[in-house]
Amino acid sequence: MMEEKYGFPFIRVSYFGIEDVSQALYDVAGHFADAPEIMARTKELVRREITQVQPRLAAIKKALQGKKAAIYVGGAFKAFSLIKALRHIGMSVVLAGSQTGTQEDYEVLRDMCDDGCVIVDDANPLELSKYVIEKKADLVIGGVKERPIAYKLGIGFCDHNHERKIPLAGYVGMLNFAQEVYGTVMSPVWKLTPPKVTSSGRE
Amino acid sequence: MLSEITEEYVVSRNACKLCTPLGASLAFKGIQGSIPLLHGSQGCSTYIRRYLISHFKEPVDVACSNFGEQTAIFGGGANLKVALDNIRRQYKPEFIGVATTCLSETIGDDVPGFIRNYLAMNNPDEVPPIAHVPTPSYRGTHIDGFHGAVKAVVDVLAVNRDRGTDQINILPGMLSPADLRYLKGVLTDFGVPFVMLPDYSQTLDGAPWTEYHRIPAGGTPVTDIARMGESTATLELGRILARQDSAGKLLSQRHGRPCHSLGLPIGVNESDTLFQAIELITGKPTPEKYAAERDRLIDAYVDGHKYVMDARVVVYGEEDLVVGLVSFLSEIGIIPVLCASGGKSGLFTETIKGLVPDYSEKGIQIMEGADFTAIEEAAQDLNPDLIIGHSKGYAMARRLNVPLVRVGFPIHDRVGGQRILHVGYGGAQQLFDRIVNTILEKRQEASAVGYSYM
Ligand code: SF4
Repeated sequence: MMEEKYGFPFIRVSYFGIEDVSQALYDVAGHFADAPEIMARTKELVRREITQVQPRLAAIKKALQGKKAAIYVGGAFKAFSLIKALRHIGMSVVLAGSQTGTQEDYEVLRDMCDDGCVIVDDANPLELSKYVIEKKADLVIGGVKERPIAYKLGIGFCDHNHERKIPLAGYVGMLNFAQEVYGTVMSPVWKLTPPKVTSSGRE
Repeated sequence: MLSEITEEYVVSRNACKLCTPLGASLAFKGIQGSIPLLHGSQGCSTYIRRYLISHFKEPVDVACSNFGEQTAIFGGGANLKVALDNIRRQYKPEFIGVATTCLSETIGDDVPGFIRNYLAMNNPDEVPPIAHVPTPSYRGTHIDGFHGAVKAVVDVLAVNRDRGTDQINILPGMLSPADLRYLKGVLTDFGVPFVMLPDYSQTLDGAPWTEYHRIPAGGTPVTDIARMGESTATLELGRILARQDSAGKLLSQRHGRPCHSLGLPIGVNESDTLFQAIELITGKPTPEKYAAERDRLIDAYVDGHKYVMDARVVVYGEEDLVVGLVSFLSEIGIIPVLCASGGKSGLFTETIKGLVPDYSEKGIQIMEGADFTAIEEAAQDLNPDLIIGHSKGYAMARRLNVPLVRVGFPIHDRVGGQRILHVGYGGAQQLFDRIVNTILEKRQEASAVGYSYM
């Protein structure tokens, strides 16, 4: 709108996940093609920020390697960033869906996801829980209303919406995100929850 | 003038343990119609009464044989006789538990001999049973006094040898009145007859009086203790106790029935072990009520797991209490970065390591025979989120600016110490809620935004 009305240049970026936030910074720096020192400073900044969070992220990745996530968020654009961020910490996505995704969004999702990943659109809790159990997800990412469902099914949960207390954007945000995912997926309380019933019987 | 300080002598600063006859007095308070009698000077009994009264908020009488300067030199035989006479006249007790003090132990009073003489000089039908436990405070701590007293009572009183009952014994250890009531409730709900020793759930957490009572109502009846040898099995609680000489083992040796030594049932895993043991002994299933309580507890663990995951906690207290708490904390993802006790069983470090095999990876420090000065020094470097222990750690918690979740004994700066439930699924539920909420409160108060949801 501002682009149309006032002629402000506009680019679409995501500040979520190491890859996306770095890309966002490069995109912004790249816009000022006539001032290469901005790009140089940006590269330096990205390097510094990444060095700071990388050791802890690497440790978390080691612990989470091979764990599976189900993503069910409002907008599809958010899902793209989440998939990349989860990959960054060793997790694969076994279910991805949104409430408002367009046809093109789902095309992109399908391309990004691993084979066998279930793509759902505007699913109800019954469908969601069915796939989450079948796919043996270790984590659900969704809105706060999905939280008790994930918990009842003995699955970790991370909320990703406007109600959050701890920020997830930027480099520190990525570390927060990784730590939160680690905290819920690796909690020992899952050793105590009852085994889940899948179509092929008990786990 | 001393010019050199020898390195071997290290003074204890702010002990993280209590005096040995205190534990014995507490155990003796759990017998019906009982009076604890300290063989020593009056200060000891005054201190012990003050400690017990401030925690339980109940009248606590502890008699004393009143050592003076002459007794300290010539021995306390005559004093003990006078004390026993006076107690019998004033209290008409059904049982007297004698514990010694540092002074009478140091001068080497032959208390068993004194008691034998006393019994010989009196009509045996008129004298209540007397048990004696040696409790110099320079050996062991209050917990040793407690278990020693329970063993002495069993030794003297559990004399019946009849068989054929399906009753079981439960030796709960040093728990709160709420804990004792919970355990009695479990056994009652299983429908199994039992003898619990000691049981101060009423004597130290009783109802208002309509008239003065010399000895508060409640406690394990002496006649029940007499029948403990008839029981099919004994349950004793405490992983450290399991590896020590105990009343449970004495019963087992004398009467040839098994003693099941379990951990304090704190948290799901240790509570499961207790319920399984009762199922095994009685052949009955766990009552539905407890299965439902367990389910709700696990549901609550899940709801709160993210707030406590990897939280760093300093935990201190009696060895078996700390061991039980560590088992519970580990199952909810809390790291007990410092596990400390003033106890000196020599089994503490090993027992904790057994519970948390990756203790070194997690950077867990274990301190036995520790005092509060040492605990605080260690805690300072560990950056804890929370401290779990009794009231005597408050000064440390305050200096470190870390919240203290109160458990165990003594709780002198709050009401309700006697009502803290630690054991069973119900106890874990209460501990869990208190711990999570303390962490949430700390986070909420530190936030610049006054948010009112999680
Ligand atoms: S002298 Fe010994 S028994 Fe008496 S109060 Fe002190 S430590 Fe306890």
